Amino acid sequence: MMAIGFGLVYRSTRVFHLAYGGLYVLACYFLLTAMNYLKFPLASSLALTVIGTGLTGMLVEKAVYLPFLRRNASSGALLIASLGVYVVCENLVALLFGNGVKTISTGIEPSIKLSGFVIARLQAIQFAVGSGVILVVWWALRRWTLAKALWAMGDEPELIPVVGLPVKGLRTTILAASSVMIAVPASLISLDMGMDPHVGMSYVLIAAVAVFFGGVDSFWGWVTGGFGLALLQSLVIWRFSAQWLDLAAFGLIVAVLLLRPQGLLGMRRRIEDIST
Amino acid sequence: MTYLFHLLIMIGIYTMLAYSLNLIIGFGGLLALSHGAFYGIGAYAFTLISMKTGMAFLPALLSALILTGMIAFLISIPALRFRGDLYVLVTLGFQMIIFTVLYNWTSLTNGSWGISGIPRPLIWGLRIDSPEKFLVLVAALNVLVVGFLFILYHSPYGLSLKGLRDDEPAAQSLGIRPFAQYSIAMTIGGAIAAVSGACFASYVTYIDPTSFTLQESIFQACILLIGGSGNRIGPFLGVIFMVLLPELLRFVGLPDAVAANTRQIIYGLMLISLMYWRPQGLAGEFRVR
Repeated sequence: MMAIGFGLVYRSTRVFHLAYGGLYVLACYFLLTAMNYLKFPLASSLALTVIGTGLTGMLVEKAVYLPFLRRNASSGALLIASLGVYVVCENLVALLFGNGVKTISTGIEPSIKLSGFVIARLQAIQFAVGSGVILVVWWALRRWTLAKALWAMGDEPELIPVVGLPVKGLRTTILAASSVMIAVPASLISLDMGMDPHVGMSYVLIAAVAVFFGGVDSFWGWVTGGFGLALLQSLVIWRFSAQWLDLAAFGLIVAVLLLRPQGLLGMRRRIEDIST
Repeated sequence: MTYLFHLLIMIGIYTMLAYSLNLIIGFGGLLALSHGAFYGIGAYAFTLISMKTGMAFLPALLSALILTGMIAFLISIPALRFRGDLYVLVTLGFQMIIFTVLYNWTSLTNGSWGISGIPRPLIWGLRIDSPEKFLVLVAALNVLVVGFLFILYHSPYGLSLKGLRDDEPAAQSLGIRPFAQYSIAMTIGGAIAAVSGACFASYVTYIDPTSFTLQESIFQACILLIGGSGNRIGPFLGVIFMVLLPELLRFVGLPDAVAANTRQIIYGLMLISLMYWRPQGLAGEFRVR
């Protein structure tokens, strides 16, 4: 899911959205605030988290990315500004809630027995929600003409206003959608394993690796990248140990980029296209 | 007074790092996030060579420099096939890989426990054991390294690198080979980072992998992004600012727990606003692409 969100933003706005990690952290702490401090029930806390993160995503677009776009800023400048947003989010949270690990307690989680496998309920929910969102986004991208506009925006941003589409609206929609998409896994993961303000970067990097691994240009590439990476990580943990996780993930991305720069499911493009 | 010396030594170490990274970011226009890794490899190579073989400071420093330069060259081969966002991602990938190796290759690097008891430098029978003497050593190395880099900046090589940065196809048409030039920049930059690494290791006498994380690489890139790069004054301004800001905040009287986060927030806000108003940093020449 995070890979899809990152892929959406990168493909359509060409922003290397590092602030995504900041949004992840914010989402975790929205949930924490709602549940532990305001004592809301789980469902409304989740709703609040999703809305809050979506709004923050839009704010990031309005306050940071859009002004850069108006100035015709370069992609490098955007990347660094995005990094700046990430750093600010991370440390604001750390300032307010402290640097330590926080957990949300919902009691001991029941587990489900399924023909010999034991799966924790929360992990089953994670899986179900993840697949659900993948299908919904896939359906939306297939059926909606908007999706075509998004793809086109990644290729030729200047042409979008020419054909009469609202660039700002599209970009804001994308940012909001991707933020919602990170709020959900962020909540689920933080319910499962707790949170601290500094995890955002590693998650956004994994998402970026998954997107480039699967192929920037293809929706199923992002999904394959996400699944492939998750599978690889479990395999590494199973065969070796968790210490070598990063080595495997980043070794993989370097290898894939070298051998197949368009990603596993990407289309081969003309050299002129790639270099821009 | 010791505190002042300490600050000056740290400024010296970071000045060398900033000027070597300046060759890659400022002159090459490549936003590399792997400099922390080279700094780390240099520190570990120096420490292991001098502790395992009992080599003196200068030969050990030289071997660490050559070794790190070789590793930087090897990394430059795959990394330089990319430009822009993908180059950033690949160098970031190598940064993570090298950190993982330093952290987990326990038999060589002692993993997360780090290596302590690194000997103070011994040069021509003179033991550099007080901050004053160390400051002189760092200053001397700075003169050598930064002087060398200044000559390089204005040599035909430095100018060809600038040409590549500003317009790669045009520079290529003049017979400048991008891969060779960029790869030399990364090799030299990495090798000089090793000098800083060795200074850091022998000054603090203890190293562990957490000094050489992605955060460190980002910090070093920020020095150049905030101070400016592509010329002589920018990196120095960046170092002064980035090294002294924490101390300044301490004098304002913020408690330590709050100060670290406040500092980071200031960096973050500065990055955003500088990229917006001055993509070339406070006093730089190169505008980030």
